Amino acid sequence: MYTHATDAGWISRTHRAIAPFRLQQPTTPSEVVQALIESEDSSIIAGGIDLVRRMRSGNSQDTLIDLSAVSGLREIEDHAGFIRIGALATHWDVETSPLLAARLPAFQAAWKTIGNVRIRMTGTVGGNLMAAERAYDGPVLLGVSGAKLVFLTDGGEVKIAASDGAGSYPSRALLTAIEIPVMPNAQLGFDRTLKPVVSVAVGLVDQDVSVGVGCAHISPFFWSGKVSEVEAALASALPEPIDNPMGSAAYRRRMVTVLARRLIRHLHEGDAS
Amino acid sequence: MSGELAFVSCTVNGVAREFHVRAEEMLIDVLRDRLALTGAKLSCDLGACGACTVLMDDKPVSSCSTFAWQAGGSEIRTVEGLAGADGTLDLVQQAFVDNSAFQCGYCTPGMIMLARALLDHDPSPDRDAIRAWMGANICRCTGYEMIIEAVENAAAASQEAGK
Repeated sequence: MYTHATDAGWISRTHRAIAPFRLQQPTTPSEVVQALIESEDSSIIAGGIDLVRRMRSGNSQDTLIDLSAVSGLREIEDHAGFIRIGALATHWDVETSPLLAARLPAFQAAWKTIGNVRIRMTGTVGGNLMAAERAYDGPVLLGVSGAKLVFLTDGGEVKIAASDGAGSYPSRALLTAIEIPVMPNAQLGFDRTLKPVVSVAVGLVDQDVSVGVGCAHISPFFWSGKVSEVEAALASALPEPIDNPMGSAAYRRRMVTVLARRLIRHLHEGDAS
Repeated sequence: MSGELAFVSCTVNGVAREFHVRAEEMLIDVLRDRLALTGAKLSCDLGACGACTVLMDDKPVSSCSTFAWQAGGSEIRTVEGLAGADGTLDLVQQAFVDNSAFQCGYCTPGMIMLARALLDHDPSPDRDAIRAWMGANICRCTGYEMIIEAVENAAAASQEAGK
């Protein structure tokens, strides 16, 4: 704790000082990509929720590329067959969007459980994904929703399935939007009550199911198939979960199956909560 | 550009302010060091506890995790700016006093600003909405019941005053 005298008396200052960095403030997506290419040790800052915490914890950056002056990345729009959410849309934007309430109500309800109000009003959908934190809900929800992530790279636009995970994201690229398909008979269920041990999301279209598992591994796990195959598939295909004092691997493995089965049953019974 | 200064123009509690800040300088340090607005408290330093909550364009933010340059062009409100010019407390402040909704008081400025943001967004929140909203900030000694009741009473007083 550092203290020093001011007109207001002795006060403490920030005790996890952040190392100096260059600040760039491009105004277009292509300028952002160019800035990423020009500086190897650079990071994008949108809401800054995760980046600032990491920098506070000692991760230094040569350059921060601020997106606040880049327009056109925050809109939530209805397209033919999908909803496009700009990467700079905040969690609050998602939570309060009339369009999402009408077209993807279960997704909106699940997204509303992310973080607290300070985080939801500042943090962005894109930031939640790019942070690639294993306990985050965004990647799991988008993965089972069949969402595609739209990146702008030096070579043009690239779309990646959300379920492919952060390892498939192109390098030195800007996430510009997320496209979520809208299907009239699609259902979504999500259970995060056991976080940070395990979270499970289920996307259901008739007898076709996608299961997403968060928290239990280094990165989210996804499986897709028929409802009748879920339990056997999870038993054989689920990688060995993290084993630590917060939750054993055996417990996590067991709860993945329990929560998935429960969510599917609730969806079949018409109770998505 | 390391070590270069960024220019920030914003309003703080209704007063226009201009600063040159280092890129890595945080909003809380500008408020506390330069403006002697020490209501926002430094605690976790990671944006988790909410003791440093101020309103930026009516949005509650962690000033310990907001770079000062991010406040450029915005309207900042701190707990010092809530009371009227004659010293009359804001309804939220008065409700916290009336309900003894603080003990050590360290989290109180952040709690009050968070509650003010809630009532600005939703003048008549129910108890569940208050609990969910106020759960963003941490208090380690008062206990949350009195804080929740204070916000309920502030909402009721606000409704009454608006009649």
